[in-house]
Amino acid sequence: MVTSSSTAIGHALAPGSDLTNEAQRLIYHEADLLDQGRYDEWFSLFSNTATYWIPSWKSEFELVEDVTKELSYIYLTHDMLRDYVVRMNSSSAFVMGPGLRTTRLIGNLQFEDGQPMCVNSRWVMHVYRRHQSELFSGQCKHEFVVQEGRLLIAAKRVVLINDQFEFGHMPLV
Amino acid sequence: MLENKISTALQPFDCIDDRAEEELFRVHSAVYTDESLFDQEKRAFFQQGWVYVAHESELENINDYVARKVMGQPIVLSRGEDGVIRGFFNRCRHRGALVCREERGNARSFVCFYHSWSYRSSGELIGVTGADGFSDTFDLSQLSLTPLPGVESYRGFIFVRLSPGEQALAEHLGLAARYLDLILDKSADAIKVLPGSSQYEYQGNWKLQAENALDYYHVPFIHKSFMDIRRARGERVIGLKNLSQALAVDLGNGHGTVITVSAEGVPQQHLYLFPNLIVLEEPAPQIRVIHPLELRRTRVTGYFFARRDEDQASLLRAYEKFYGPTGFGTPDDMEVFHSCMDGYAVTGSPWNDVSRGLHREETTPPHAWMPPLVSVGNITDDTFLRGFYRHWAERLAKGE
Repeated sequence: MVTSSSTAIGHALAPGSDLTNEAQRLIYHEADLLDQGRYDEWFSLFSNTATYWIPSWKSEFELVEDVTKELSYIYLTHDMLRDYVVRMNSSSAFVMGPGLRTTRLIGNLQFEDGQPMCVNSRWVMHVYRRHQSELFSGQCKHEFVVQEGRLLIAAKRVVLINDQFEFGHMPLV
Repeated sequence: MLENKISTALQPFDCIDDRAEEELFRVHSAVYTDESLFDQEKRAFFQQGWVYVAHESELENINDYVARKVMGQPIVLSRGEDGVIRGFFNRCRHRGALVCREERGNARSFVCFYHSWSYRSSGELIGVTGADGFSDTFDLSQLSLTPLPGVESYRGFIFVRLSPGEQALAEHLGLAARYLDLILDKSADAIKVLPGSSQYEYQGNWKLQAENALDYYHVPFIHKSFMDIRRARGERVIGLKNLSQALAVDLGNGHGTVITVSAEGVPQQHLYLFPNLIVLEEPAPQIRVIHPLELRRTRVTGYFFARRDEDQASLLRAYEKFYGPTGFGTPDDMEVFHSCMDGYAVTGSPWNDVSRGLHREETTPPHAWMPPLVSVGNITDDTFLRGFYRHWAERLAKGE
């Protein structure tokens, strides 16, 4: 149960720590928390103004760019991320069980110079349920922020190469 | 009795047990699991009847086109230089390659990538390469892109037919047209479909999606987690008690609608136009198109439509929050479909009960603002489903 006093916690940064190493650790930790269904801890990795966005494809080539005028798969602000966690923690997200298993693999991490710190990556997610497998993959961009010595996710944008969704569902990447 | 007909082919009326006078209506699960019935549906509903394809606002500019499929057959809708929207089979008249290989765009002409034959956006064949290889009697005008036998629009909604037929679109829409008017008349301007679409598939029969979109009975139960979120935020929750004044309507010809009333007293619909279109207003505007791929596999494409003066950004977020494969609502419906398809493997207990509300069904609209209808009941009743399956059986029995 996510309490109303849940605050963004992120990853504590030891003085002198290498920011790119820490960002990488956080990305892998995030994937791990989602695979394990530890949603409250996952939520705490996001800053209070964070967004999570999966744009749609407008055509074979173009992704949606303006969320005020175009339809995406999902565009979550921090409070809606909390709603997602409430749903995942309830026993009523019927599509999630019983026995849904996921593996999220993140790779090809590339660090962009400058502020805010961004990491581009590629990902593959294997979803296994009801004796059936489905594979999703694509690109991801994490934007990080450091607040009071803690590393947090300020924005996450996920692009899917395949938007077929054979079983009508995809857990958040 | 159906159970004794082991070796003979199923007839549509065998699958409906319609005994309204006994307050009984049942549907046999073969409607979801029988390949020969699916073949008949493909022919009668999707290849011979009117089918929704696109909205005119998706073809705003001269030479805009969309390339889509109707029951597996590739088609193109294109707005010609003269502003007229035409529909063609997306098939080169030379050797059958797809002429239009992108899903949407703007092109004054389509050039087939095989031998570079080119067609104007209004369909005429304007050039063949190596013309010396064709005799003087070769007549380009005989090889225009084949027009679809029917392309008709109702207030911006473009329907096509893949085979010639007598029935005009207005006759097919029947009473449902006035209910679409209720949705569209809320704004002085035409609605506009915005860019971006969300699509998904499920491993189940197409009719499950048609049924579910007009089912409010399941909302407090299947969408409990969505209602929990609303409740925690102090927002309006849907439960059986506050659906007591909401309605389910059979509009004839397989069409139907369900109507709730918003907090401001405005009617909101989920309007179903047989066989493949649903127009929804709440929790957010959506045009939902059903594409049967196989007996047990269906694709659904969702579009957002905007009305002027509405807060588009908030409504887009409201759409994304419920609908689609990453929404907080639709995926649990998908779970239901997969579960039902599993249940329909049971041969020893094949009948679905569709008799809810037969004791309280009426034939006249309960409110003055409601246009004519066939039957009406409470929104949780099976009023729409009974009309749907009666039409289904009648059309299939006639073979059209």
